[in-house]
Amino acid sequence: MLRMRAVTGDPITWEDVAVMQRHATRISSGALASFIGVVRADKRGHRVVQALEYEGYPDMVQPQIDRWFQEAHNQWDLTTIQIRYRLGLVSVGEISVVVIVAASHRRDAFAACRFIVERIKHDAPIWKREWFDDGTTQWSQCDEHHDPVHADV
Amino acid sequence: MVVTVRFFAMLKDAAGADRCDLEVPEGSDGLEVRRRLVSRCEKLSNYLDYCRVAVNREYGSWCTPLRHGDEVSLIPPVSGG
Repeated sequence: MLRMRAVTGDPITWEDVAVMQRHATRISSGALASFIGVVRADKRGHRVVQALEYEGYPDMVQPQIDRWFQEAHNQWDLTTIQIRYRLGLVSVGEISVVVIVAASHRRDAFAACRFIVERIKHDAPIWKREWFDDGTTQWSQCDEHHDPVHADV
Repeated sequence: MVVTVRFFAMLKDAAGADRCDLEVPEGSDGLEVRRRLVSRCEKLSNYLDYCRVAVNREYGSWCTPLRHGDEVSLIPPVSGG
């Protein structure tokens, strides 16, 4: 199983994605599923997102990723998984995250790729602050509704 | 005993710092940390209901028992991707 430092402060280029895909491919890989997250120009009323600033806790993210890799390998017949996640300021159109899964067959590749992406979305301690064209910023609310985490107080 | 509390994202803004050391009685749990944090910085109370807690970089709960030197991370709703 390939292990690598997944979180980076450096830009992720399309050339990097091609290199990751090539490195993920083995002679036993019949299918390669790739997820590439790109910053989009969302509108909030009259404001338009120009960039997202990603803040994370890499010391906690990395062991999580190692665990998800293991879970994915246990559940599906995979050859390799690669993840790259960018922290810091990422402009509209730039790549924020790449997940690549290689497997013998497409069903395993699709399923494992989705599993990893959903785990990142729901559990990875990563947050994004939206930077707007009028110079204002705000922390992004996540996609799903969040109930209060009851503290038994 | 002393634990280190880590703040991220909007909590970091509210606390005005990314971490603090907090003295709590032996045998305390996250709830005691929470009570002491709110008494120090009332603005944090707006967010803590929505936070998960991680102890030494593993998700736990507010009731997880703490030991001297533990790191307690307050994890607001994540929004990666």
